[in-house]
Amino acid sequence: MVIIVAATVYQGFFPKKSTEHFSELGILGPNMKIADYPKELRVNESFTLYLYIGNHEGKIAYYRILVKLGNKSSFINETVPMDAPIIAKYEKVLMNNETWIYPISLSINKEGVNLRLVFEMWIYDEAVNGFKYYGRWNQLWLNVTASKPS
Amino acid sequence: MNLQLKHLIIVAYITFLFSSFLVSPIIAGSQKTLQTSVEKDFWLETAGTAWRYFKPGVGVSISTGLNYGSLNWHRLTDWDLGIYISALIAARNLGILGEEGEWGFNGRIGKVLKFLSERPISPNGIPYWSYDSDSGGSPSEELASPSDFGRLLLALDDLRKVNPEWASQINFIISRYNVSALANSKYFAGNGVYEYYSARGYWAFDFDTPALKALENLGNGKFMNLYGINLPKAWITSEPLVLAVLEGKADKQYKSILDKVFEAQKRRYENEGVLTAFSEGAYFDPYYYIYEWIITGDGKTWVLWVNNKAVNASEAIFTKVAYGFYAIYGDEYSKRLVDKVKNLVTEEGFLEGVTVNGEILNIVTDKTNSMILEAAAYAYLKPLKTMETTLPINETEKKVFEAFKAVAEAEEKGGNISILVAELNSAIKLIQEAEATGDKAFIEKALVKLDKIISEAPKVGESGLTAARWRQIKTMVALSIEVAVGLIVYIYAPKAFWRAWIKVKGKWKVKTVEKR
Repeated sequence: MVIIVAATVYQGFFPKKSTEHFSELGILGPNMKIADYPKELRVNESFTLYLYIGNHEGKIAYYRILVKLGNKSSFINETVPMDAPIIAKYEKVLMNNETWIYPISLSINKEGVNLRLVFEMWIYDEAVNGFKYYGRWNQLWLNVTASKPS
Repeated sequence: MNLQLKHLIIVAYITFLFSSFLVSPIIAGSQKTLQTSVEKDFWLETAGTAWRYFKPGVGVSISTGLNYGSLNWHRLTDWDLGIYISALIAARNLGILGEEGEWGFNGRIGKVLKFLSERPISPNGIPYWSYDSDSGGSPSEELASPSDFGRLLLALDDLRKVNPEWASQINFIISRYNVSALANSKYFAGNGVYEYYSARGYWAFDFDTPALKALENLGNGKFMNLYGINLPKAWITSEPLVLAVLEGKADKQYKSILDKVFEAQKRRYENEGVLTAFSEGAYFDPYYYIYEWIITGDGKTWVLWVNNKAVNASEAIFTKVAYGFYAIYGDEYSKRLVDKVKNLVTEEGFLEGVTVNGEILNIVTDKTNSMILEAAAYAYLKPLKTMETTLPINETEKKVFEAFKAVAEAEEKGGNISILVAELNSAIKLIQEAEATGDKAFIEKALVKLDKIISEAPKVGESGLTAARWRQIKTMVALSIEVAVGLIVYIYAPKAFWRAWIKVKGKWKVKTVEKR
């Protein structure tokens, strides 16, 4: 009887919650798979990718994804965001355990070999009342050549 | 055990369960606070150890109030004096040094400013390279380097910000010196990270450093790749970069060099297993003082120099840099560095460091203990500073943040926020459309939505709280029923069972059958 009582009390006051909190960031190719990513592009050629975000923070979270264009010497790690131009920005508020897949259309306006298209995840942090770099990032390596003459 | 005692035990157990469940959230909440308090205690304790050096009669002359470069070298350069002022500001900000009294913050600063107002300088207005800390006199006529004087200017600039009443006295001191000659020095044409740190001191007092090249030209366009990290081919070590960040003197570009310098040292450890915290500092005889260059201007890497020559000596892990990195990055690698040096403690402060071969640099200096104090102040007061990994915000964003916070609060109270979240995302989309098209009408619509969210969210939160209360009441009722049923069964079931048994089988007769 004591066990039944204890279980009732526990369930009543502490509904089951997941303990490991994290967020997911993924980039899917044009066919919504982890494949077929563009590698060779022409300047200003438009291409489609899918952005995937998952919230497992145990609470609502406000995400900002910055898309930056760097090169092979650009530096980024889990504490330092890349110091490179922002070419696109996406924002979404997600409830706990909610995911979001969103089609994005991008183009690169300059030529370059081994360009790095970096997707950085930033999360709103109440303590600083602003977005803070979450340390999660993905990248695509691109070679961009001049546009075909028309 | 009689029946009443059994009842008492059951009731006591249930009461215990209730009380422990109700109390546990409060304990969990205070553990989080404790975590922060543990970190703060760590930095305060660290600062307290470093502060030992700056007690009068230890690393500070009782007769003049000037600091010693080390316990064994009772002299100071302008770099040392700048270091001392920074240590005093850090100690004051940490609350371990009071304002008043001869050896309080004001008294100590008074002695330093008096010295700077009266000290002997060369006929052309340049200070001497070093001064005797006990007498204030100059033992030689060697002139101060622009780098050392720049370090002093940085500290004086911080000082006049701490107390603007000192500004006129500091400006008078500056007017004694031929600062312009130092600012125009060819020293600033050098290809290293020190030059940029010192130059900021001159800029703070409106002196240009014309020879200094743009930071993006450091290395003259050439780079060295260290474990996948590209760093300019220039004279690079951690010291000025760490100081600049701890003192809030690093712009984004300079900070990014420190990030790379830190990362390169971390990767060196990951690849070679060599704990690395390169800097400058006191060393064993006969070298006395070494510079550890991560990269040199001519492209050598991980080398030690003494008196402008490379030497074959054992690398040192400098205590000050370990603590500096830990204050700035606080990651596993910097923690590992601190673990390596945290026991290098004496009654006079922290020791200089330890070599990779495990030999302890048994020397106590002002530079090490000052940088550790600055690291402690940086880490202790960090939450009050703007994080560099945050983005600037505008007025519309502020409104979005306000709405988000209101929704988050409603969620915490248990409210169903799905509609609010949908509205918030809709407002964000409108703002993005406004940014894409330049049409301010979208912003107006977004603001209307955001205002609505801000006013609705507390009601959703309240409904969540009400629902939670009902859940608790339902739980209590269910629990009471369970307890009541349990007790009834416990007390009356045996009696009822035997009654029923007697009713069914009471008329049965028992016969004895003889064995055949």
